[in-house]
Amino acid sequence: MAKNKMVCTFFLSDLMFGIDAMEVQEVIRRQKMTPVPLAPPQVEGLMNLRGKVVTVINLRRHLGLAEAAEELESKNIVVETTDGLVSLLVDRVGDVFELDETMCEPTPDVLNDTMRPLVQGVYQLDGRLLLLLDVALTVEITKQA
Amino acid sequence: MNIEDLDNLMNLAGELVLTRNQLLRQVPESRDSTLATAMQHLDLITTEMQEKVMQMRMQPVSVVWGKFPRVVRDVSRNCGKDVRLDMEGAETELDKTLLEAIKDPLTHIVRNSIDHGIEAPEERKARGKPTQGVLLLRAFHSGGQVTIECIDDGGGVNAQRIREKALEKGVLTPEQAADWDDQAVVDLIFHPGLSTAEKVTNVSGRGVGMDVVRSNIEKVGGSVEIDSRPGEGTTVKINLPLTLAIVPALIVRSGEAEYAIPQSEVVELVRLERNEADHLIEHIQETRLYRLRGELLPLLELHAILHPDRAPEAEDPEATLYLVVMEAEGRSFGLLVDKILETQEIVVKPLSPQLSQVPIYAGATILGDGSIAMILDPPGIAKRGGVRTEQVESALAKTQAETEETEAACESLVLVGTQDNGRAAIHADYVGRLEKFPRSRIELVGGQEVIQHNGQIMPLVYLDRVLPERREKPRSRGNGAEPNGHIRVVVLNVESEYIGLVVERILDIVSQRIEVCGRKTRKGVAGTVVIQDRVTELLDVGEIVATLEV
Repeated sequence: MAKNKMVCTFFLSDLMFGIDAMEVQEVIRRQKMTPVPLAPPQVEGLMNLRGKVVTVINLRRHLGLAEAAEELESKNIVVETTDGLVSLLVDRVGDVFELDETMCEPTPDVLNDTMRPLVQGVYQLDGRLLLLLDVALTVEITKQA
Repeated sequence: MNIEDLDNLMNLAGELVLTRNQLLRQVPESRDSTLATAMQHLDLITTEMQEKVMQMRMQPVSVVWGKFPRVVRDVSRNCGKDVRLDMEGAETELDKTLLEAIKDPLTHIVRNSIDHGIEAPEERKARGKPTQGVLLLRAFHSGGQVTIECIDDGGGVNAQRIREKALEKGVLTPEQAADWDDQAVVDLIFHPGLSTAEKVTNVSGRGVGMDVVRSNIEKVGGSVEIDSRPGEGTTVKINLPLTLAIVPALIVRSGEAEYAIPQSEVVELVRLERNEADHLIEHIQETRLYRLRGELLPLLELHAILHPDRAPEAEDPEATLYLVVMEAEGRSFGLLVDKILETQEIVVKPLSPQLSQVPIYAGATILGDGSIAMILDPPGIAKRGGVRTEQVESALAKTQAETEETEAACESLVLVGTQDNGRAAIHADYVGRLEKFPRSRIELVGGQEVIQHNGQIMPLVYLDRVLPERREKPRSRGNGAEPNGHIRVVVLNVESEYIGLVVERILDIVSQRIEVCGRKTRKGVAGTVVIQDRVTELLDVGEIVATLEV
């Protein structure tokens, strides 16, 4: 069971995602953001996290999901990457729990093309599907955008 | 000490400064005196700490220069030359990261000077120079910058050889080669792909040219220039900012957001009232040009550059225009912003890779109120706004030609107010200075009022006494006097003699084509012209001076 990892779950519309909890620095509520004109569309803006400039990625837009219909109390999941801190803007944050890696299932075809390469694995949990995202890839894709 | 630790410490100190600024804004003038005292202390301590950390980053140039005696000895032996190295200002300090950055470029320049600059002993002898060449390295502070010079007493740069080489490599067209003066040609040394070494030696000519030197120095915000004196030597001058971590920046507003522009990139600021702007800004096709003291500047609008997809906002006909004049791509241009706010010391934060592809930003910074401002990168803006496009070039060329025509006919005039609320103009050629003197300085000599000015005794002439009043109107005494007892004086310089013309008000200095359209209205007036939509009397300086004669 040593291979099991802690995941931090979050929601985008009705989908449940997870990322490696070890890469998460903190979760904070939506902050005042400075928009960056001419930036790739996935970049929501920059926020000031205790004196650090953190790029905020709108994960819905980045993963090719529809924009939220109503104004959401969205949350920032601040992750540590090799290039510094990046924040992922999500609808809602769920639980943190240990994931049994043996439960991994093949990636279903229903995922859209933007999402598929970022999904590391799919897990069946109490009748829900958890999509595990690769953090490094998720924050990197924006480079090419 | 580890440079990374220093960087971290520097960042923390920077954060402390910002937090202090935030506090200062929120606790402007507290009635609580203990809080006020504590704030003041925090203020002082933070400033001092910042200075100390800055000092820790500073190192003398001798750190880099230390290895040059050996370099010079080795290189000159290899080239068969006799070179003495002198160093001045080795104790001059600059930021450690800057020192790292200039180490290689400077080494290259030194090698170059010995290899190409200083001649072989026999050649020097033949030219009547001492056989030993001298290479002088000099460092000094000058106005917030550090200058490092590498001066040799060699043969200078052979402009002709560069010209030929540039022609051969297609860097210059034959017309350009014939047209350009030597200095311009020597500057081509920084052009990629021009190595003038006739033979590739062990020392230079390895493909790493002066273009790399230049780009490395520019990367850290510095500049490099070369001054060649044929037969006497060459000076390569490097200008560097003192530090990289904290830079003074101009904060401007565009739409809802604030942006920072590094002060070092700003040439000047221009404020244009809308009514003036209309005839100073020319529209040629899509390009807008502004005439700044005879020079034409393409205008870019920050808002339009940042939001190309948004419809341009309806222009407020009353709004004042603010223009930040900058230089990039070898051209000056004006950036129109909504408002110019202030200058601030900012801590430059690099952008994450997600944003580093956006070429118009040089970084981001956190302002005193905790909000983030993007730092604009003038070269990126210039490129994005297209100040080098064909359209702009043709518009510039076209207008330039027209300007030269009109320019020739233009004259500078000083506009003054006369007491009956009229306007008069004086040819700027006659005007030495505009002055304000206290009444107490007026002395009376033989019935003539005079003022001592610049070691001369300057007689005073009152404009409204010289100009005969056409309608009779009783008026109070005190010509050109302000309540606090000052007079406004246009100092006329007529045949190297000063004459003080006392006027009611000094209004403006204009440059325009003068067409005298009205006839002489009264004595002392040459005629009337229309300036700034007002009928203005053009003064006849000769006649005014004549009134002084006994």
